[in-house]
Amino acid sequence: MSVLLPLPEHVLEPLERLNRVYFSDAGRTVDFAAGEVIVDQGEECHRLYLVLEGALVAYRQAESVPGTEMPVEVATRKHEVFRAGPGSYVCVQAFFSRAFRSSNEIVALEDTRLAYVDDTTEAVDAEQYGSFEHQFIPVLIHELAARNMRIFTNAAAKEEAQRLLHRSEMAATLGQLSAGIAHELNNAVGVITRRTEFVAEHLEKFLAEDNKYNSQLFRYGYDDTSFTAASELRAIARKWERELNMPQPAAKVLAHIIPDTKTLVKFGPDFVKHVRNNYSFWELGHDMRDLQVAAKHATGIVRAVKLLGGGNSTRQEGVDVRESVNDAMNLLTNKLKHITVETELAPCPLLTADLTELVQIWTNIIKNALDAMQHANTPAPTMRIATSSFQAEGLDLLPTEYVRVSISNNGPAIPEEIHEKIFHPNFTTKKLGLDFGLGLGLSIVRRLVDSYNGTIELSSNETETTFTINLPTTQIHGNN
Amino acid sequence: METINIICVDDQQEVLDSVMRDLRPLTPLIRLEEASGVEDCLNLMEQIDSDGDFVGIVISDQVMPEANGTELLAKVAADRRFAKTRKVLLTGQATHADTINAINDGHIDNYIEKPWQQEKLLAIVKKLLTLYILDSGIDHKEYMSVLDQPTLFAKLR
Repeated sequence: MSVLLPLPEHVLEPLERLNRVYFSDAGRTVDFAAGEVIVDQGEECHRLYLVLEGALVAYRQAESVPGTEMPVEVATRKHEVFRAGPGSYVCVQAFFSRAFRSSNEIVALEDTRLAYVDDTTEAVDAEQYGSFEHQFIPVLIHELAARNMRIFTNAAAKEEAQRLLHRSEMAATLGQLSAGIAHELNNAVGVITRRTEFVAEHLEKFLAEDNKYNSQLFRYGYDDTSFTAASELRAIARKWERELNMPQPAAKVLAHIIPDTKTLVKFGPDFVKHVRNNYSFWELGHDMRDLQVAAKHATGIVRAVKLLGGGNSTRQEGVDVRESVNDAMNLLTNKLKHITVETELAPCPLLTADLTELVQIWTNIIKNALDAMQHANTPAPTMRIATSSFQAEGLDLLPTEYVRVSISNNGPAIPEEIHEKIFHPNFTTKKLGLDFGLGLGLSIVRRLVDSYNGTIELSSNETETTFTINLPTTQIHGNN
Repeated sequence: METINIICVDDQQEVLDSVMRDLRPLTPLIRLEEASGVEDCLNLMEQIDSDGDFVGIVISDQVMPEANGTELLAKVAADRRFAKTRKVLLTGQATHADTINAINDGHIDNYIEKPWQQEKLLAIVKKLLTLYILDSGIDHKEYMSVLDQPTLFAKLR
């Protein structure tokens, strides 16, 4: 962790002079081989070093207060304090505090060459540049700034690591829980799904043997897919109730099958009379249909919960993110054909990833966008999907090369206050019929992206909503 | 004879069908109506009122897309034409705050949790129906088979 700040010119110039004047005497250089200890913690040290070549690392272990004891483990644990490379000064504190005792153990990481001054060194050009201490003020400032930066970087890296740890712990718990639930539910739901089919099929056969109209009514109920609005259906039912003097439930069933007088004539009086007395066969068919829709819904939940839990991921090297985007679009062909899709798939570095997981991420985001645009009746619905890559300079802890996928739509804005919430399990804005949202889509996205140590950015306004996913090409390796 | 309506409100047709089916023993003395949401229910009530009929009970789901059950029941409670209408919240997802609002603003008469049992639902609805009929001064003798006897006797004593 070499920390060299981009110092301003007026600080760098005096540093260059100091290095030239005080640290270019070949007689005052020392060489250390990689692994060699330059100075021990607490060892006497009268030198101020400048690193000319190589790299070194400083460790420190807790010092026991005289008269007290410390657990052995704590007393012997070494913590890395800093790393330094060419241009860095070492033993600054020991030298200028006149304590002449190193507070760290300093070890050469590579073959290292150091130049030094010591407490006998005289000030050069004192008339022009002032006393030795005065001349070395830029070094002190440089050191102070470096230490400040070090503390910040360490704290930030630690915080980031803790956040990732917390998330991955939560994900692991959720994973175990959901895998258990999915397993238990799978069998139960499987029984319901298959038996419903079986019962419906046989019921229809039995009914057909007995009475053609009854099996027909059952079939109408079973196949009912009318999306007529409740109020409209109510009006039709009321019309039949009055015009045909029918009981309310029978009229309602008839309204599902026969929407207007013209169709009524086509079906004929025999059929209508039959409905009046046997409408419950339609209801029976409709019940079977509801059972099946509900079972299908449950199957969907089980599948989603399984995905939420993860676990079955097989990640391979050399995955092209564009392939996963294309797969996702192919899966959603039917839904995508009603809108305009613009793609800009720039070549990207390859990822180590599970293709199906990536496809799942894109599908969930795209599906949500489609639903939102459909629900809001967005005029000229358009989606834009783009891939790119970038290099990130930031905390040492984080990977530097990322692949970016951004998915935009011109649907309604996502209110600022729910930007975080939408990634929580069980949050949904969709609630219509049994086909309503599970509230799991985006939490699956979050879990999957997290598992790649990626990030999700969401920006949304009246004209455009964009989900941006950044996935690192290399996986995290922790601090050093 | 006047028509007394019970309106069930739910945005999920499948749930609505189940409630309606469970309440069918009340028919044909009582008329069952369904509404798919708050707006739909208010329109329906408007229509029933203009036909000169009664709304005895509104049974509403809580979580619905455009507005929730508590808001609907509060509107019903504030409408003097439906001052005697009994209000039931039938829900699996009401929060603590929803429940407080339902009591304070919606003046609900009962809170039924999903999933419900037909017997219980019917018993509650019969009780509320009995209270509605007695409060409205409707001749209860016509409705004996759908009334809750203990409530009836307690009130008439």
